[in-house]
Amino acid sequence: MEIIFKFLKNIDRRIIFLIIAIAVIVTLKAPMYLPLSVSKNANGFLGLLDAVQEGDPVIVSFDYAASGEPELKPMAQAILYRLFERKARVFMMAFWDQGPGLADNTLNGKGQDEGIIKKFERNNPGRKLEYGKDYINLGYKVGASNVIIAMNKSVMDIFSKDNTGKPIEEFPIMKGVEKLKDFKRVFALTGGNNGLLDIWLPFARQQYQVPVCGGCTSVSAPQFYQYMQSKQLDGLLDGFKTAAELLKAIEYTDPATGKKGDLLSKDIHRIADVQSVVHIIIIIFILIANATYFYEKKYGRANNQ
Amino acid sequence: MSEIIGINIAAILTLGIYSFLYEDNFAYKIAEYLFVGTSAGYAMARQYHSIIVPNVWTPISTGTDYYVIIPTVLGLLMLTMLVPSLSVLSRIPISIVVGFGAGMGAMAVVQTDIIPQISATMLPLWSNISWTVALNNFIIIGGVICSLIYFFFSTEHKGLVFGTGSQIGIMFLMVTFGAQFGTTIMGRVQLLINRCDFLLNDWVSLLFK
Repeated sequence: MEIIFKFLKNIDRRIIFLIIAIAVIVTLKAPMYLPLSVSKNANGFLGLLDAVQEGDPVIVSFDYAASGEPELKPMAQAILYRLFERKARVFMMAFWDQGPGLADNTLNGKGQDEGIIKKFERNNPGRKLEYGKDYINLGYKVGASNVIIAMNKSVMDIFSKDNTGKPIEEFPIMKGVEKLKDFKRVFALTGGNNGLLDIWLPFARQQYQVPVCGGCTSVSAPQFYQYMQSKQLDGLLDGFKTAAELLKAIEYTDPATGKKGDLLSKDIHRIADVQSVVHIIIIIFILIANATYFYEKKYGRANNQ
Repeated sequence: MSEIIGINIAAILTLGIYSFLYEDNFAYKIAEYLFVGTSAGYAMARQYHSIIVPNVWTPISTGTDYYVIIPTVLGLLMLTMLVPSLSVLSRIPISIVVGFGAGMGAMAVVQTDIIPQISATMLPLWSNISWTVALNNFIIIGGVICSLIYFFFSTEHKGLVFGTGSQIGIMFLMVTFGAQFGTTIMGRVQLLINRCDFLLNDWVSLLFK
């Protein structure tokens, strides 16, 4: 027993990295498609999306960089798809400089990803999404809380041009939208500071009473739970898992086959599988480390070298 | 063609970064420096086109708004930090930024954290609520009080109230740290999966095409 614990205590960390890497690669190549149930949290968020009425102006804020994309892009896909289904007027903006580009990637796709617009138009043959009418990319703004305060005076003053440099008053989507209070809801996707927690929540929600909900990376999720409990946040997608659940909860009927499907693609389901497998391995390592620690504490014979 | 080049560069840099897991090496350093340099360059170019051009250059050059000269001069005064004999001037914009930031921050904290969070802790423990809700409320109230006791340093942590209370507070803090550790693992693993997925499906499939 002592030899085993001695070996486990002194195991090279690179062996652990290698085991994790093998687990990721094997599971990616041979996915199991483990069952994924939709949690109360994801269902609640879907309810917020469904509460948006036709023609309602809503903000989707892309406050993250490329490092947050693996977790936040699935959320953005689910939110945009459902908002397009609800025929909302979607205003995309960003407090992070990479945000507008990532918003375009989500809409139009990149590489093997076809993008949410193509997917939506394929599933809804009668509808063609139009830039400036159904959605607009207002681009990146620096200034954090100042931008929110200025938006509540005049949206057109602070965002005089869209991300491509065209004056926003030319677009029909702007009809009836003058101030921040005209927006029915804010969906803020945040990868850290300068986003949901320190801009949208204190200023849009608390100062101007605009309903706010959103998504965050799982690293920062524990900071957000208290605002759910206090009902300052109406809904929260806390990391990739809830994003995958929301995608699964959004159903559609395939116009070609008439079969029902959901937005959870095989690619995302496969990644959820890998998450589960890696988490099990990490739990095993934590248990081994604790067992080694307690064995050493009790018998004091493990090698400290 | 540009996409093929881009995928190859991204794959080589990803492998360069992950090579650090074995040990620090030249490939990692190259990838790291490239990341820092391109990030800084991208941010600078983006700030120039998103802020300097529309907010400073256009209003002044077209003569539509000369008031922007005031914040522009204040912003330029920040750069006097680089010249020791003039660095005292940088205190003017810094004092404005600190004053404004403190004011806005204080307001945000009061209206987001202090008042709503205290209100959210004032929960009923009985009367017309189910036992599960009552238990939940009890845990929230107990957790807040015990955690605050742990951070109360004016009295020695002894006896039933301060001794036991601080011990229970530690337990709540440990559970919080555990939750944070768990979600951190989840987030980092997601980044690893995404990179492996890119290497396996985008890069390897490109190599064998």
